[in-house]
Amino acid sequence: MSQKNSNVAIIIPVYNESPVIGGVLKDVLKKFPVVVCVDDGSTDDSIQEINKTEAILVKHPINMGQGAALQTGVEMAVGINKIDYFVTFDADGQHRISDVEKMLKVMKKDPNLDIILGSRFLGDAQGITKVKKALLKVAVAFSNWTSGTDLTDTHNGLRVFSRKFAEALDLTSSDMSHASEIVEFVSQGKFNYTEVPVSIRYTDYSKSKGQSMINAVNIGFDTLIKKVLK
Amino acid sequence: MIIKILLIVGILALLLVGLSSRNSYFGHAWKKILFTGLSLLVIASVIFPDSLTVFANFLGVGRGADLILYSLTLAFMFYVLNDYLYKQDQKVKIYKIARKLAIQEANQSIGKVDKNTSQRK
Repeated sequence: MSQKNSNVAIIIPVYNESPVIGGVLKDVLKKFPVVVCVDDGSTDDSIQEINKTEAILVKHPINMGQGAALQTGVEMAVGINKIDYFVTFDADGQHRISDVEKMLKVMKKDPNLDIILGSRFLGDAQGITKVKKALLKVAVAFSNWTSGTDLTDTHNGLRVFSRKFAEALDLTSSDMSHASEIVEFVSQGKFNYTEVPVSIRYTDYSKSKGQSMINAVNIGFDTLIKKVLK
Repeated sequence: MIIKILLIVGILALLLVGLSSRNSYFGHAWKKILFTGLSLLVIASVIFPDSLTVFANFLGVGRGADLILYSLTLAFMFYVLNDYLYKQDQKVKIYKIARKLAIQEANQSIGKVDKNTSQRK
């Protein structure tokens, strides 16, 4: 049976998302049969919600952070032979499935591409606050500066990449600095990348779940320290 | 005078424990040499406290006590950094084990449902 999109794995890190994860998974599974959910030691009913669906569940025995959960999801999906395309997707419903389809189309058209990053500054971000936007711009400038890339959005959870990229990926930063780490990885590994405009829905839920902005300071320091120690 | 005896006995005891230990931290020969050298220096400075001031003056520090304070501060900062890096290293290892376990478990439960969907590498 050659089901549509059966060579695509949607990787969703989940940490205490029980109010929304069921709905998000239902929507994603309509278009994409292979969904890998990585539960990062949730203390709510996320696992039960995931188990109600057809999604593959990988359970971290301990909480290890979003970056670690992404790495786990990628490794799990790499183990599934039929998968050619890997998509990272946030659990809070801020991404659009139509954007994933758009990115996959771009990816399939150009076999040289290794990774496509979603950019909310090429597209439009709904409900974003001015402060958050300014902060993200700083983060983008910072990431471009430390990694030598030329991107418009470096901290977007929506990405599509090839098997070659997935197999090479080795994220070690467990927390949110994985976004910078992926950008670094893109710039060092001689991978072909591009950006595709995506829309982000900042709902009250995603805003309340999002990391506090002060955490940007931690990420900045982590990235700098890594750069200095290298 | 009693304090000198207490200090020297304490340092010698630490040295004995350190040198007889076979764990990975003291496993390296150069660490043993360093530790022994440092202990001897400390013992010397306990027996001849003035020697420290002489050395401090040589370095341009006023008193031996100040020199000790500076060295301690430096040593402490070094320790904190070393400890941090070591813990990060441990964390990465633990996460790798946990990841392997999680994927193995997931593969097993998939295997029960549909053997064709997923194959282990």
